[in-house]
Amino acid sequence: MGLTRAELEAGLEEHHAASLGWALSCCGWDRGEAEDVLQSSYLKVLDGRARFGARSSFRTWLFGVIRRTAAEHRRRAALRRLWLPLARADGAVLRDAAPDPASALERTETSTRLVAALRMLPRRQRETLHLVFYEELTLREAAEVLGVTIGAARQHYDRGKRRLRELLDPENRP
Amino acid sequence: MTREDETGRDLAARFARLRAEENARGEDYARFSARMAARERLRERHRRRPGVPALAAAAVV
Repeated sequence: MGLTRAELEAGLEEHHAASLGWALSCCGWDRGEAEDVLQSSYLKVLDGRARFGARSSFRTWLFGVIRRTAAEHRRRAALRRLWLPLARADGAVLRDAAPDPASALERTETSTRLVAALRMLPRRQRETLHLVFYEELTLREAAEVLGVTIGAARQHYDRGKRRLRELLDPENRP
Repeated sequence: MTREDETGRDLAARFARLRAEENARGEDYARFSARMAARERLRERHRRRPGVPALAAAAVV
């Protein structure tokens, strides 16, 4: 049996801060895009387009919904870019793929460097590191969110960790 | 545990700091939902008026 609307709302509320962090990571730390993705994800959960089957924890399931929604948004944005000349002629304003400057301004130097380095990693590595370090998921949980085997998640984790270390501290490059 | 080496501890500290900064500027679920709903209403209104930059208008919400 599925969760009631009140139970779903309670779940979303409980994990909201973590979900926003995950949406930011999925959207390359573009806050506007991340908020759109999060809103779409919440709507899917509440109107039943995404159903919690209790095969994993609510949090890992919700993170999977957010990840898939972000991928849909990326595909739509890519299509919009194909139609950009027409959209411009029509007077529409499209969001640039670059992260919004306001987000960067409010971060400390250390965090700004971390975010910049994360953006340089392949998506899977970035997502795995975010889930393990930012969200404090186990590798098994991270693998569930990403829809990969735990072996693959470990590989993304090890490679990503090594690469991120090099990006943050170039002097320690092997 | 794979986090428990020098690199892992360093990265954990950096991510924890980033998380603390993001949480400090965040808003709760109710406020987020209300703001998103208001933004969506604005976008919808501007979608019905061609030529008006909807996203620019929504950004002020």
